[in-house]
Amino acid sequence: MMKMLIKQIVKIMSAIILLASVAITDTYARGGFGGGGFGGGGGNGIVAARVLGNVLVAPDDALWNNATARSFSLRFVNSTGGGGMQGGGDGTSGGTGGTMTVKAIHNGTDIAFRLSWNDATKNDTVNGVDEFSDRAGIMFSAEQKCRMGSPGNPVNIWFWHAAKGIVNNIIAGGLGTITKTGDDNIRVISNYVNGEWQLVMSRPLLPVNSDNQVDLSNGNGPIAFARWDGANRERNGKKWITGQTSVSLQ
Amino acid sequence: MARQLAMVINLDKCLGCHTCTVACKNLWTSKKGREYMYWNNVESRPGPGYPRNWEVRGGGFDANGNVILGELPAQADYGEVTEYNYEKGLFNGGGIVNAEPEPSWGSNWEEDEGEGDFGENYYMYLPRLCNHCTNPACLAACTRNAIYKRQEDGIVLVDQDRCRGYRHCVQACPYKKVMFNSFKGQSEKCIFCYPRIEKGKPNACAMQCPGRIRQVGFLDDTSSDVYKLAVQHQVAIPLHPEYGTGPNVYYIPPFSGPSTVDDQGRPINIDRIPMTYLRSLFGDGVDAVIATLRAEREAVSSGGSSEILEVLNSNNRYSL
Repeated sequence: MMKMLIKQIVKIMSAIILLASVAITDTYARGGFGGGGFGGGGGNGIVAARVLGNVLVAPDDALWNNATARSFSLRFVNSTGGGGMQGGGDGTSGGTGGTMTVKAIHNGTDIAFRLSWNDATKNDTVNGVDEFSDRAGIMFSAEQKCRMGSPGNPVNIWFWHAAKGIVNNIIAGGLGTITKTGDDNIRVISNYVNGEWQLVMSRPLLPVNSDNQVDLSNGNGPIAFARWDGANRERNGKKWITGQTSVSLQ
Repeated sequence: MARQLAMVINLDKCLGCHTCTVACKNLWTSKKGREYMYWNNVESRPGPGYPRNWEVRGGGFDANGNVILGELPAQADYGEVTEYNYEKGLFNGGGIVNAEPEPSWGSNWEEDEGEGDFGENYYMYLPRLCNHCTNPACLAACTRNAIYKRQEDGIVLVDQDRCRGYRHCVQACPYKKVMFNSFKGQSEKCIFCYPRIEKGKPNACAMQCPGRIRQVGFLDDTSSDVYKLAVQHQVAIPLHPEYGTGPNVYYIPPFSGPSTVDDQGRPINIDRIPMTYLRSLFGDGVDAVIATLRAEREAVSSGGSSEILEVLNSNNRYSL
């Protein structure tokens, strides 16, 4: 009798958990990562200001005055040595990471992000085995945790490589799985001014391929930002990341 | 059942002519971003080698089996990329053909220097390529799973679709035989001439060697010379076995002559290349190999026969 009761409770609990997870998934699916969940500019969320005209403008363009800047502190992580790797003597944390300042604008068709961060050295060439490029990225996510995704819950990344001068559209489903999709519809303008990288990345709100890109027409979240300092030989899982935030459209 | 291709290189017969290096270069590393690369190189030893001081940069595995990320060489440690100014030197009154820009370092920069004073100087040639290790440190270090070892022949390859140029493999390879193509932004290495192997032909370095010092075959093929030398008679041994990666390029250590002469001009029977130096390259096992080779030579010179010497003196280059 007692055993039956326990079994029954376990069954009910399982059903509740299952329903709850379905509900969470469903929220994201229906809301297109947006809806009311990320709107309103509450907390530290990024609000993409509505503007007229082309949003792919230089980082010093007056159009950016329309947007409110949000600053996020950068934290050093190193997930490269997970397999018990030792040594190397490179890519260790070089002091504090400072902040990543982010603005966003949209015109109803396209969205643009403006990222800026301090970097004492400009590394936009790789002329040998001992040179590494500065890089930066935005990660858009469809799940609660913004950690490179997991199988079945991929993340979508805009990945800028200073030396290549391009942004790749990337999907990932966990550590070590990032894959370029070839949907290279993300445009970029970068400037390095007085020890600061200023980066503008833009893409249509609607994905060119919904399997490979998130739909941004209702905003998105959680999202996160990262940057790599080439002078410190940062690459792969050695990087500076922000906490999670979200983007909503004005 | 996983199989392993291996190569045996007889250092006794190496002339230091670099035909192997040129064959490899022409076939694989003449394109953009690979100009500086020598997937196969020949070093004069003792010496810093290629890339410079590769032996002290670390890599391989520690006692617990964790991969060690060694030091990344500087690009300058591989040497400058130069071009010969034929146009200026031959046709425009220059008179002399030079490499430009003037190099200050490169593969085999230390040719024939060796060690020791005049009269007792010694050196040896050491051809090197990727060892296609049984336990490759490059593979263990890759966070992208971009490096794989083929089941059918043990060849270790970098999947260019997965490589993102992180260079952990360059750091982890204790032989520094993974190289970075900065034009492509990806790592590349010796492919053991797999397109040739798949057609039953040996590697270009082995095929072109004028001294026929290289033999290629499967370690489990009892009819192959590689099996006879490395497995059956164990006179071919790997370079730096202490790195723990299980290299599959094996070397017949050089059988060095006397180092000097007495006051009557007669050779004194002291090894020209000190055994301590050979042990530093091949481990303590090199003593037994030298002893075996000496005994085999003596057997033949007193009218007997030796399968080992017959294999070493054969013209066979491969059994595939």
